[in-house]
Amino acid sequence: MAFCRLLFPLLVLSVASASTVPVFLWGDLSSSSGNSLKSNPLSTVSAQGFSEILNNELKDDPYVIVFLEETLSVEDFSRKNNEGDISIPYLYDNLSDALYLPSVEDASRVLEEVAKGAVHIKLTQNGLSAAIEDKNNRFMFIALKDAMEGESRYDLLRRHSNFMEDQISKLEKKGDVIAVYTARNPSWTIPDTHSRVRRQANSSVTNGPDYSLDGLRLYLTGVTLDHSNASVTFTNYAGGSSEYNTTTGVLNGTLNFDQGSLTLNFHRAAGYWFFDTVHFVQTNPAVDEILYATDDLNALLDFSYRCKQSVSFKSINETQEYKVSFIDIKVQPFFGPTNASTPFGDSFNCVGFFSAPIWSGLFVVFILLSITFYGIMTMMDIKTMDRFDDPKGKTITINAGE
Amino acid sequence: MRYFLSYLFVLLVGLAIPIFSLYYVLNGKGEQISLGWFLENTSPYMWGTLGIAFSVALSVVGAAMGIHTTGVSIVGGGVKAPRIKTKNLISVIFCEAVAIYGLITAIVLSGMLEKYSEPFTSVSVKQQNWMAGYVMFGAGLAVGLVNLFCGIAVGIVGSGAALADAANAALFVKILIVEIFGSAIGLFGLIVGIYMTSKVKMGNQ
Repeated sequence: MAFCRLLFPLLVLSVASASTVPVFLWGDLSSSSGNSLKSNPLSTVSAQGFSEILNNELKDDPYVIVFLEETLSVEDFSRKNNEGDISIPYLYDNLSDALYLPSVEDASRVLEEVAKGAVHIKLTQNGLSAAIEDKNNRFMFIALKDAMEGESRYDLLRRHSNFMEDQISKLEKKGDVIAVYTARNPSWTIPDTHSRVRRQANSSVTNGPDYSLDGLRLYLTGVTLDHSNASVTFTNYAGGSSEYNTTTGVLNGTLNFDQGSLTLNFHRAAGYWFFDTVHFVQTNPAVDEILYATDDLNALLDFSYRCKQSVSFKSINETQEYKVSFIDIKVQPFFGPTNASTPFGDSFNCVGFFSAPIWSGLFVVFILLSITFYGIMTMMDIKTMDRFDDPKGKTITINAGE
Repeated sequence: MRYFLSYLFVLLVGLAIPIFSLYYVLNGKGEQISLGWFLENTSPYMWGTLGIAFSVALSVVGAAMGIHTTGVSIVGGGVKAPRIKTKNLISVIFCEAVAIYGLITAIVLSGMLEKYSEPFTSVSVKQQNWMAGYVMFGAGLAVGLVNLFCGIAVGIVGSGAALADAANAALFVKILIVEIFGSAIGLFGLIVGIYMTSKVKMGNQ
């Protein structure tokens, strides 16, 4: 579950980072680019390419004002309202000295990198957060965040077009001015798959994932057979049967598929049930093999087995190896009458609360702690000889012979 | 304070164990508390190294307690009867011998600790490694415990010998015989430990 929560933001991020936005530059552009690179509709400009283009434009150190929409796409430039008016007429007027790149990766990030000492202001419903004229920097970012509720896209773009026209006209006295109109994210995204492909209809297993028989509850998402490097999925479940003996504790359940029939053999011993073998019978070509479990499959009597993704049974005969794998299996034999609504017992997940390493750790720590506390207790028990201690008397002196 | 700590410990253990056991038993999962599963799934490295640790640690504890007891008596008795000090060093040497037994066993066991690689080529390799772990644990524990009690015993006897010697010099030699018997039991432990380790074979074969 945690994995899902982690995956979704990663997917969103990957989609967001792979998206491109159009960039419209106009103003006093360098004359070289004005002639050669009008527009490049057929390819996406990479972030590095855009950075080079920007550095080329900005080598005369003009004043740059960047209008950042929240979202923008190529479709917005050709959007019209019901009367047929275009949404961003100001840009159409400036088409002659403009550079239009319809698809740029990471445009806003590259702009931030190229801009040194940029000032960021916002246009909200209350107006500009700061006036443009009284700043001494060469870069200005205006984030256009004044979308009103219920406003159509056309109205929003029209309003921004008028706003840009106002701002640019106020900046004539700054000298060379280059304006950039772009956004952080595209406004129109097309999900890129989901095209239907006609396929040969795969006849699905009619009984779904629940293959319960009388005396056996079984849940599978699929069964595959691997034989001589070919893998085949069992399809078209045609019903099954089972026989069991409650006193001896044996149960055999048979599942019939198109590709053959599988008989699952269980037995019960010492408070556990065991899934021993699978008997695979096929008529065309004739196969009759008993397959043994690759690792022991057992659980306590009232528990269902739900451990691995797939459980496989292999034949011992190595010349013609057959391997049947049950995908996503949950199984519990009851050795008595059941029906499809008999609930599974608690599931045995092959992982306990305390694992063996935890136990060994606890064991060793217990030993060490007991040693420590025993040592402390014995040290507290040490009594030195104080019979002859006399704080007021003469200290004993012993004359050592010279 | 020590009584308080022991009672607290016993109380905690007495609460934790029934709660865990009853949880498993009352949920029908009693089989999952399995000592066999624990023994089979714990690593032989743990058992082997625990054995080595026990053999040297417990032997040294025994020797230390013995030397403490006898040393204190020698020092005390030697105040009034300085002649005892040289002869009674034998008691200290007997106590130290048990520490040496433990050290020898630990060195021998350490030499037998080998690495093995996990996907076992055959079941017998795994069985051998597991048995090696258990045998090393058993040998180490045996030697350690034997030397622990031997050291304590020799120490107490040595202490008595020193004080008796201080009172009457003729007594010392006879009391020394008691000490020799005490020391022999430490030797028994060493013999059993070394004998068990001959079965140990760890590694990939």
